[in-house]
Amino acid sequence: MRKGGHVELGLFLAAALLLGAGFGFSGRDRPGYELTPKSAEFLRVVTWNVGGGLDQGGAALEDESLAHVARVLNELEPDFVFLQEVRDRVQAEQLENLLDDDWDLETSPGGRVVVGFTRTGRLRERGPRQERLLRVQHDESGIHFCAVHADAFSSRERNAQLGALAAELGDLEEPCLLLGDLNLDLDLGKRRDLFTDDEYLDVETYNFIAQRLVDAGQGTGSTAEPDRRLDYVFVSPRSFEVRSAGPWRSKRGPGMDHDPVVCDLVLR
Amino acid sequence: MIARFEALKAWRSRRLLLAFLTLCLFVVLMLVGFYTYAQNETGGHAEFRYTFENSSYFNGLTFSIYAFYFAFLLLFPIFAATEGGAQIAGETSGGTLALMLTRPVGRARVFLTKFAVASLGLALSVGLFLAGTLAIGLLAVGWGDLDLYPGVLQMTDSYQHLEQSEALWRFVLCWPAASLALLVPLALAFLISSCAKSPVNAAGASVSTYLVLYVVSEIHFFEELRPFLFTSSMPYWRGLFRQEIEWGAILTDGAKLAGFGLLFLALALLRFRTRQES
Repeated sequence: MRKGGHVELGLFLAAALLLGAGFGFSGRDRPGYELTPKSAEFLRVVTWNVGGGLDQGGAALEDESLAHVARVLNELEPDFVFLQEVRDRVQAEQLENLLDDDWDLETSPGGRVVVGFTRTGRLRERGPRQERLLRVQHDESGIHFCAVHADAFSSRERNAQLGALAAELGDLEEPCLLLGDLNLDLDLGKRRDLFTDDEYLDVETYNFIAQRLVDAGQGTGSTAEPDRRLDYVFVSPRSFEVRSAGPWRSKRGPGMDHDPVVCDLVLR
Repeated sequence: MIARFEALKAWRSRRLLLAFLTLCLFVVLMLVGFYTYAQNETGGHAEFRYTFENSSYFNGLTFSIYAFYFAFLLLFPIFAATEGGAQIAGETSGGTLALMLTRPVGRARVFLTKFAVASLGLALSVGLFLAGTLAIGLLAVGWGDLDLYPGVLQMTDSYQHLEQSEALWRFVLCWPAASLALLVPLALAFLISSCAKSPVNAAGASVSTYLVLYVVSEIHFFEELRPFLFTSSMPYWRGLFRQEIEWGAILTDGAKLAGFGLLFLALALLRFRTRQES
């Protein structure tokens, strides 16, 4: 073999080794929540948009899906549950009847309500009542919850609502969570899309919140179709240690387009 | 001797001057854009009331990283593609390659010397650009700590804060990492150039190929293809600006890029060594 041939062979071999190493190490990064047995050492919080996807006309939770939602929640054994896109309080009470144990529930005003459930103690409303926003405080732990279904169509509305809540919660001494379908699509998984419009605007809002509260499920991938991360649990950094968090995959009911997002928290 | 000759040709080439002038224009535009954007975001004209950006966020280090990010994705690969594209095809078209190969020097040596000189030129331009934007940032805006936020330039998925001295070290680390990434479009351009007879065609084809691969790697529709495109791994140097560098990810992407670069180079050398010069 001529000298140049040896050089080529060496280059091909080196390329093969390096490509093998590069592709061998990389795997599909799609982590999510992995269910562990519930214990008294931590609190389990769930947020879930149980409404239908756009192919279902963006409908609220269907009565036929109540049993499925209840089955998933019973499997999780959560301490706190916050659901978005429940049709009304009556439907929320129907769901409560399907859950194991006794639960206390609160709902936001208006239609397509945000519902909060707790297995222990009571949820007391706190602050002015607004549609698609449930602000409650748990009487036993003192935890302050703001469960939101943020505007799906206007990044400006999202900024105004979520920014004001984050500014307020960031100043609180008591433990607090801001959670729900925040409709912020940041492409944090470096999904990248040249043809997006609101993404850079939502970056403003997300980072404003993240300067004050910890994004518990950060880096755990998309929560909704099509491959978007829209559902979040933000917690006050001084009050909680995040044990595990993320979307619990393959638990959507028929027509649903969001995963339940589960967060196991240790209250400091 | 060949290396000195190639370096002299590169130095006298108008391509380098053109690249330098383009980069200067780009930096001026970036400076104006950065200044007006920072003024708007911190001077009461912000689009949103609740924003994470403030006057300490906009400093010389942020300017440098913004300028480098855009230059790295949009300018340097094009310089690499035109430089590589013009190398072999340019000499073929001018008839100087046949003359050069009549000398008692192996084709592999000629080829690898050309690539080494072009690589060195590219690495030096990257280093000069980083140093230049840092200096301009210091003089025009002033340095400070480097804050990186999720969603901004896709630099990070969580908030990162680097003290000024640490951030400057990361810029130093970024230099060889980014230079390595740019060797891939350069090697690809050498491959295309070794198959072409016209430097214009070779440079055009190299630039087009890079842009096609870049756009494909940026569009969600092609998600399944992304891992196999070198353009997806090219901005891997962003990981060097994390508080805790994830060396596994850096090395993985670095290995992929080096592998792609060597593969293109080997194919280019094979083509160059076996082709007939008329």
